[in-house]
Amino acid sequence: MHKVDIPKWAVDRVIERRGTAHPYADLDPARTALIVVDLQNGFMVDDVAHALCPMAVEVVPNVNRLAAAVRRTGGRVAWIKNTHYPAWITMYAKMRPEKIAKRIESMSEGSTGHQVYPELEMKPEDMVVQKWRFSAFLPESSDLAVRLRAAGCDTVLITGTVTNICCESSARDAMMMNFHTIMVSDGNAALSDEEHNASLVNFYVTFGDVMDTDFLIGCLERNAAPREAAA
Amino acid sequence: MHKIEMPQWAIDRALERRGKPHPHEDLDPRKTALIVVDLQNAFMIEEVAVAYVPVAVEIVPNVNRLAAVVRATGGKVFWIKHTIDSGSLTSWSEYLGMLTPGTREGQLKNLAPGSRGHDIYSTLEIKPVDEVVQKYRFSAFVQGASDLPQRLRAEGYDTVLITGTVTNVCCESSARDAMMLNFRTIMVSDGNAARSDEEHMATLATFYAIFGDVMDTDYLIERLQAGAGMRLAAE
Repeated sequence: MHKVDIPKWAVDRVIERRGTAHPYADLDPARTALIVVDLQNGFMVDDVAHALCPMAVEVVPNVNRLAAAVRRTGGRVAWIKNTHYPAWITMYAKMRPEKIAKRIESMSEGSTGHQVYPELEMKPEDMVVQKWRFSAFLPESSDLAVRLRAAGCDTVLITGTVTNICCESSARDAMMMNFHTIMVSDGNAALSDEEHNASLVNFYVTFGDVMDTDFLIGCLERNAAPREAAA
Repeated sequence: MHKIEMPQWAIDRALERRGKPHPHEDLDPRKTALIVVDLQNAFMIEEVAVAYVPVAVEIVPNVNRLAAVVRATGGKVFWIKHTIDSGSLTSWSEYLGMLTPGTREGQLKNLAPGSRGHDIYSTLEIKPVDEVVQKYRFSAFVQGASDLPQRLRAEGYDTVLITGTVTNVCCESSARDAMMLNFRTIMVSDGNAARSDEEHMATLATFYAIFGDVMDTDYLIERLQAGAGMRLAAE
């Protein structure tokens, strides 16, 4: 697991700008969606991966726990599948031919690499969404934002891999498209602790909230309880 | 000026991926747009600042040099102005709602059109042939932010050079989204400004390793001139 390190200056800057260390501790569980970014074999299984991120396997238990808590408290889970898109010129035009071939093989619909990692517990009521860019929220990439709004979700929890690439781009765009956005510190995986922490710190200081799995489950359960009692 | 030292892991990963250090060195100057992100008083003059970035003043000469070469070689300069107005309270409630009332008021006051903070810093050389674009999000390229992608496509620009401030906030978000929208994207290492060298380099390293190219002003000018020269030789 990554050694998560959010320095004190970052926490201080958040408190100065927002008045609290966790602006989204008051999230509404019924309007919350867990976004699981690219936890596919193509990033997690050595012999099929075009871009192996060994740390991704280690976040699986936290993602499963969080998914169960989100469903239990009335929210939705969306499994994002990164998918080969031939017309993405800036992705492919300058890549080495053997890298291109490997990525196409790994990220094409129907391939082993494209499938969600088998230990992740997907349920029939979850959404499965294909995306064609790094970010899941650009309209050019997927219909995720439209589907989330239709489902009444205004808060997104970002988990998956790679922290500073697809997860951070998704989180940045989600926030700019007006979703309350929380990156899960021990639910994302990068190639190094350095990249993981740089991404989290940058996101936390300016873009949105960062919480760990236990803290987040606490918020979901605490905020769901009064609503259940009132119902 | 920021101390720029690309970490070895980023160089290794970029080379492993693309086989050469500068994937966009063959850029076509006539299809190239210089994007100057948020070099406004609100980031550069302390008394009207919403976020004061002292290094932003230091990159002004590089941005002016690059702008002159981009124009001379057939490209265009787009000055992006970060804008927050009363409409932002609903259209970007996510951001403004998260801030303390004092911080929010500062944004509404110093990033509103017509305010001193909203103006472009005075030593930047804006020409009548340039375009000025207001944006309403950190990224200039994300849905709801501006009509910059449409303008660029309509005028045939497929390559964007990202300069301005803040490297790891508006510049990086613009650069990431531009690349995903199929623009060949180059971040200018000594044409961006952040609050710290550390944040500046973290952005450039991630961007270089996977998203696009990173070049300094001198090298970029050389490539623009080489591209223009090759065109002249062919004509």
